[in-house]
Amino acid sequence: MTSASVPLPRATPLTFIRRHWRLVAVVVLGLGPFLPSILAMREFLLADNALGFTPFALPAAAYLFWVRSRNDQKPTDRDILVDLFVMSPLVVSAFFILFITPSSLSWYFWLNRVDLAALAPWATAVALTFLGYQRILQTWPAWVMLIFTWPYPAVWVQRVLTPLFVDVTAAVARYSVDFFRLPYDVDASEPQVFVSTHLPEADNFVLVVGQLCSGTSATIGFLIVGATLAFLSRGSAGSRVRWLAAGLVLAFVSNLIRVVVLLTVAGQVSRDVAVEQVHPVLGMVLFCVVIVVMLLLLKPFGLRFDPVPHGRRLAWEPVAGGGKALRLLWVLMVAAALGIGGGVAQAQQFDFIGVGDGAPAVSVEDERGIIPELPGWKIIHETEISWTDLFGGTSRGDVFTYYSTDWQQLGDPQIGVQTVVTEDRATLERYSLEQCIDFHQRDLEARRAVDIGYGITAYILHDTYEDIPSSVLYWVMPVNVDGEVRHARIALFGDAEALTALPGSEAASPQGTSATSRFGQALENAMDGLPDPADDLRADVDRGLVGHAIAIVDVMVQTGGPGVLEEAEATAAP
Amino acid sequence: MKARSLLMALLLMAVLFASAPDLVSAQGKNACKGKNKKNCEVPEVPWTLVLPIATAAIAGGYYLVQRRREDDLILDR
Repeated sequence: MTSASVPLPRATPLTFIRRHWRLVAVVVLGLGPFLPSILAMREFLLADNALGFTPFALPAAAYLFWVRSRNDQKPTDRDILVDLFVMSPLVVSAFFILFITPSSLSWYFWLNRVDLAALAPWATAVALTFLGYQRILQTWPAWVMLIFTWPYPAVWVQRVLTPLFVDVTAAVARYSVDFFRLPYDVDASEPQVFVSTHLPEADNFVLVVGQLCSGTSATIGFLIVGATLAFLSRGSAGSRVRWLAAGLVLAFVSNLIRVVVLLTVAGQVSRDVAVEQVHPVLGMVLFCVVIVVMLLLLKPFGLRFDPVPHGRRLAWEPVAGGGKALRLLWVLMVAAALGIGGGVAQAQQFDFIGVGDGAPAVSVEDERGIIPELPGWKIIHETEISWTDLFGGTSRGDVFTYYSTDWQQLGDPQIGVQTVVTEDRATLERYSLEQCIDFHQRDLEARRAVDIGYGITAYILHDTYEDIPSSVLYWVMPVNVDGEVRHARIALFGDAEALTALPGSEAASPQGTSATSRFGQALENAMDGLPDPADDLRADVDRGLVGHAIAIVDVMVQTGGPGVLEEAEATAAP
Repeated sequence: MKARSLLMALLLMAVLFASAPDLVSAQGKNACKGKNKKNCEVPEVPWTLVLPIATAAIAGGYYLVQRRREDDLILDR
C-alpha cells in the first residue's frame, strides 16, 4: 500500500480534534504528572559526568516517538484485554515506586532519583491506554529511550566501570610516558599518580588519573547519544548493535588520546593550560570527532541515517474496538494520573537534599564532626570502635553519650549513641542492628518504623539487655564526607532505668515529611510480621529517643551537618 | 523537498536543544541548594551538556548533506 492510497478524513475542526486528542492525552496524562520531577532534572545539566546526559533522554524519546508514530499501514482494532494485561503491571509499579519506596529509601529515594524510575512505566501505561499495544510496538524505541531519563542506571554503570577504566587509562598513560619520554615519575604502588620531574623541586605537580579522566563519561554519554542515533537509522538490529559497540570502543579510545595529550601539554607547556583548558575542551572536541566518525561509519555498517517520519497515518488516530470498557479505562487513567501527580508532588519533599552535595557534612577526621550538639545536652565521646572488618577499611565507628547538661546520677537523662560511617551502604544492611540483636542471642521483641522528619524513616527496636528492657532507635542516611557521598547509621540507645528526654520538654513533631512516607511507614509496620512496641514500660523511652532523633536530623538539615560546623571552627581558630 | 529536509533538520536540532534553557535556571541560586557550599562548584560551562547539543547539530548537518547527495543522484539519473 502506498501513502497516496490511504484515505484521510476531511480537515474540519472536529475531525482535527478527533484525530489528535489522544496524543494530547498521552502527553498531558503521561508526562504532566512528572513535570516537577522533570524540572528538577535541571541539576543534572551541571554534572561533569554521565549524569549530564540523562536530561537529553526525554527530548530524544519525544523525537523518536514523533519519527516512529507515522506509517502507512491500516490500523488494527484495539484489543483491550491485551492492553490491560501489559498496562496493569506498569501502573502498579509506578504507584509502588512513588508511594511505597519513599519511606524505606528515605533520602536515598531522591539521591538515586527513584521518582524518575516511575516515569517510563507510567507514560507507557498511559500510551497503552490511549493508543493500544500495537502503537507501542510501533514506537518502541521512544519508550526504551524514556527509561534513560532515570539517571541511576547510568550512574551505577559509571561506578562499576570506573575502576577498570582507570586501570586501563593509567596503563596507557604510563606506556605513553615511557614511549614519548615525558617528564613524569610513576610510583608502582600508585600507578595512576603522575609526578612531574622537569621543574624545580617546589614547582613540580601531580596529575592523577581519576574518574573524570577514566573515559566513563564519554563512553556512557555515547551509549545514550549513540542509541538515539542508532534508533534513528534504518538497518538490521545486529548492524545497529555492532555500530553502537564500535562507537563505545571509539569513545573510550578518544579519552585515551585526551589523557596522553593532557600529560604531554602539562609536561611541555604548563599544568594550568592542560587542566583548565585542554582537559575540558579537548574532551568535547574528541567527542564531536567520535560522533562525526560514527555517522560516517553508518553506511559501512549497513545502516542509513533516517531521522524523519514516513507515512500519513498517525499512531494516535482513532481505531475501532474497545467500546464502553475502553472509555471507562480512560476515565480511570485520568483518576490514576491525579494520584501519580500527587505522588510526584510529594516526592519533591526531598528536593532540598540535592544530588550528593546537599547531604549533611560529616567529618570522619574528628569525632566532634560526626553528630551535632543539641541544646540542653552535652556530648561525651566514649570510644572509637574498630569495625573496619565489617564496614570496610575506610569506615569509622564511634560510641557517644548525650548527657543532659545538669546530669548528676544514673537515672538522669542520657542517651547512648553508636555511629558507623562507611563507603559501602550494603554493609549496613548486611550487619544490621536487628541481626546484631540476633547474633548476641537476644530476642527482637518489637520493631516499628517511625517518622523522624524530612522524609527519614527510623526504626525502633525492643530487646532486653542484662534483664533491663531496652530500646534502640536507628536510621541510615547519606552524608557528605569531603565531597564524597558516604553512608551513616546513627543508633540511639535508651533503657527503662534512665530518662531519654529532658524533664518538662514537649514531644517533638517531625518536620517536612510527606504523606507518601507516612503511608509507606504504616504499610511497613502492618506487613513486617513483628509486634509493635506497645508496652508502657518503654513508651517514654521511645518517645524520648524519637524526639532526640528528630532534633538531630533537624540540626543537621538546618546547619548542613556537624562536619560544616567543625570546619568553621577550624577556620576560625588562629 | 529541500525545504522539508531543512525543516526536519531544524526540528531535530530544536528538539534536542530543548534542555538548554534549563541551564540558565540550573546555574541560579538553587545550584547548591543554598547550603553546604563546600565542594559544590558550579562549572561556568557544563561541558557534558554541550555534547548532546553538539551531537544534535552534527546529526542535523549530516542528514542535510546526505539528503543533498541523494537528491543530486536522482537528478543525475
